Amino acid sequence: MRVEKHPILGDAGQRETVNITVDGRVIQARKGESISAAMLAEKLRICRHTTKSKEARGLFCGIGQCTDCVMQVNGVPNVRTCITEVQEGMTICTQEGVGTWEAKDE
Amino acid sequence: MNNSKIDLLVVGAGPAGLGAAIEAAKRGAKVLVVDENARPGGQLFKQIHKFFGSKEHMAGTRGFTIGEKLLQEAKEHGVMVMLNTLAWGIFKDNVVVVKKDDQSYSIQARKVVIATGATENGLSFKGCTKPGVITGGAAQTMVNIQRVTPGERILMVGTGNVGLIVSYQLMQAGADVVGIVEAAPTVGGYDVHANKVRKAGVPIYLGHTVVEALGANEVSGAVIAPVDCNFQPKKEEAFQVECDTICLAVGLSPRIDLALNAGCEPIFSPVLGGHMPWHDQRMRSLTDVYVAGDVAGIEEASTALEEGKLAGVAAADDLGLLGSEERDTIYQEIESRLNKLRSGLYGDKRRVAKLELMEKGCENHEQR
Amino acid sequence: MQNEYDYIVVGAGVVGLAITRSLAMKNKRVLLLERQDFGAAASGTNLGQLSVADRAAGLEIEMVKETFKAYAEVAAEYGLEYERKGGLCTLETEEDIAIAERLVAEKRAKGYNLELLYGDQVRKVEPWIENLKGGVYSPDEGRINPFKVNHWLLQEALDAGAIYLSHTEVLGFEEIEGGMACLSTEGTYTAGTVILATGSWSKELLKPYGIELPMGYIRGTAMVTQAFPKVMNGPVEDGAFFTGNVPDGDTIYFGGVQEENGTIVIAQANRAGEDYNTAIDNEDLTKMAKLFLSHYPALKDIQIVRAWSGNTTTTEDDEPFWGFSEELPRMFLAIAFKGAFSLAPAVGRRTADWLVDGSYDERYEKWSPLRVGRCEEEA
Repeated sequence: MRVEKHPILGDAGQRETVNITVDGRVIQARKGESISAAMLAEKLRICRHTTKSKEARGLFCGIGQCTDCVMQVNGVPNVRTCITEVQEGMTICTQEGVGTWEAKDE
Repeated sequence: MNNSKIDLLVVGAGPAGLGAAIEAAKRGAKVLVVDENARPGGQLFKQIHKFFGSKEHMAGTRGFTIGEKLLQEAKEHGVMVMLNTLAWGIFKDNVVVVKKDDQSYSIQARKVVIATGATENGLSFKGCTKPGVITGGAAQTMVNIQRVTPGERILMVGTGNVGLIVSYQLMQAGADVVGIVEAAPTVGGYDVHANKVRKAGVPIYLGHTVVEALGANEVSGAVIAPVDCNFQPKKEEAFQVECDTICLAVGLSPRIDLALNAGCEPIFSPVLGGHMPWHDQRMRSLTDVYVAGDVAGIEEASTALEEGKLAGVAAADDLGLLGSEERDTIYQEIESRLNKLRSGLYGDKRRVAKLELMEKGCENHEQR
Repeated sequence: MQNEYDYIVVGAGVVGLAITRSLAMKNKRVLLLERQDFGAAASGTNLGQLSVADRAAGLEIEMVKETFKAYAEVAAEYGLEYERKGGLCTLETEEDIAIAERLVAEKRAKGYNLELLYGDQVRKVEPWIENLKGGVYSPDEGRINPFKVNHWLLQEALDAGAIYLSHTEVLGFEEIEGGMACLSTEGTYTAGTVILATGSWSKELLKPYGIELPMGYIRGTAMVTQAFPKVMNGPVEDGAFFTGNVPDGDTIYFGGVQEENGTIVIAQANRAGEDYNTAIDNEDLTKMAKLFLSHYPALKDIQIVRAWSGNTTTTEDDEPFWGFSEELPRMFLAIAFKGAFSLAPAVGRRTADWLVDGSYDERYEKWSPLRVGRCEEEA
């Protein structure tokens, strides 16, 4: 749930939107927010599944320390989504284990 | 920037780091502050409540306003702040290596202040790794900075000031706090914070603990139970609480990786949150390395700021930038402010623990 | 007076653990003393590389084979992560290729299973590797998890009745009637024979007894990445270790292994030194990372999470010291085995056979600590 009105912080106001894709679904994020925040606003909480027991993991510390919220972002695994800002056109996937990876041609 | 020599390098742009930077820069030191985060201020910018203490500690001011003031002051005194810059190692001759974007840079500094803050503690119970179990700090970041609630029905664990304040802030943001669980028989934080949440009708389960996070893949409820005199849950009296998020506010530990890497000696103090680097009365931990703020023992933001100032002054002093007249008064001024912050029921404990920490290290140092 | 133990083994590195296990399995009373905890020094700071190509034909190769067989037998039960998918030695210059061509031909004639790869052929075995002139592929090589090996050896030693005391530092030795006494921080212990498996600490420990072993130290620095999808097959090692072609002053080698959990251990920066030293050098780390990236440019997004260094010992002739010492006849040395994870279980078994049953192979002679004095006399 987005916090649009706040007794101390005031109104969030109109914020520029950014389109990102999470596991194939296009969602509208707000410019400047983290991937985690954009996902929470859509009630998406599973970031990855662990390698051995395939358990779900999501946001935990929110400041980039614990690495529980890592996902595959634009093909790169292990991206900490709580401290990575959304960018227009970003493709985000739930990470299975250590993820999959293919070298990009540059 | 490679090998650029500066007088003081500060790691961490929270209250302690900025306090140190400002005090050293004021006295003519060339100061660089690095911080791994995208924003400066450490955890100050998510503190939307008014701080306590006396006027000289900016009491009555909200955390983020203090942050803004510090940044402004740092700017006025010519402090350079590099953000998104992770200090990952301190090598011999005070070479601090930082990573920014895809590059590493070596920065040689004459003095280094380590103000890396703290890490929030976790709590172990069945299902504690499920999405929906988050820390109090994460909840605060989400509602006050990202402006998204982490859930709609939240169970808070811990009645220290963080647990109480974050509960209230979650409600201010429109979330429902279904209860606060506390293993101890009494509330840990200040009454004024506890009264706010009580008035709002939030039940506080004293003498209780979380036994399990329910839910197939994500949290959809919690099982809590009263604890016996050994803090073990009485399983037969357990009951369910409906919630979608469990928020852990169960204390902090000093973030000492970098200090240990620099060679600081770890000292253990339960009152101050675990292991922390030894330091003397002027925050010196090694010949050229100072520590300040939560990394030097968990206290609160105002104390961190004062410790930072003390470290900054001491660094300036050791760099030969402190006038002899000022030297006679400045340390006393800061110490007296620190003593005021470390008074009262909880403050006294911390003051004593802090003294023990300094002494303990001294013994060890002498033994060597 | 009856000795408390038949044997005291000093040092719980992989060699000490293997010897303790083999002696205990022969129903001997064995005490293992360790000043830190098991696998704390070189045995806990290495890559777990299983090498074959650089081993001498004959005894050494036999012991390597025996070791691999021992791993294979318990790998599943103890989760040793024992893998032999082949190792690659990288060749960076035309000069390296020329030396490798000669060496590979020589070794193949002696029965080594080696293949010389040219240019992009190396990507057949390591698909993401770049900027090489070629490589020497050794299909028999592989890797193992060194921590799991240490644990296996200790567990079986304890199961067989050995006593293990960690955080017990040996301060000195005394010859007593019918044995030796070990003076330690936790008290004095006696045994018929003391076995020193103290790796790089041995030099310091033996000095007071007039045993001057010509040993040097090499401090190797490595670092490890976050867990990452599978990108490396076997260990990759700098060709310098194969060709011996080391440019002057160049001590940063290319190499690495990817662990089963996905982390990549990047190696290695070597510095020769006079003393035991585990400091980490910033410049070495940077050079090592750059060298690695020059051959794995595709891995530019990978994060390093930790770096460490460990010390290994070197001897003048690159051979270990294995056998009784001259000055203290009841002291047996087992130190300076190069790449001990390819040898330790065999060293353990053979040490126990030698000490308990008197089973001795004449080829052990070349590793005898007594060779030091003899060489000098001859010279």
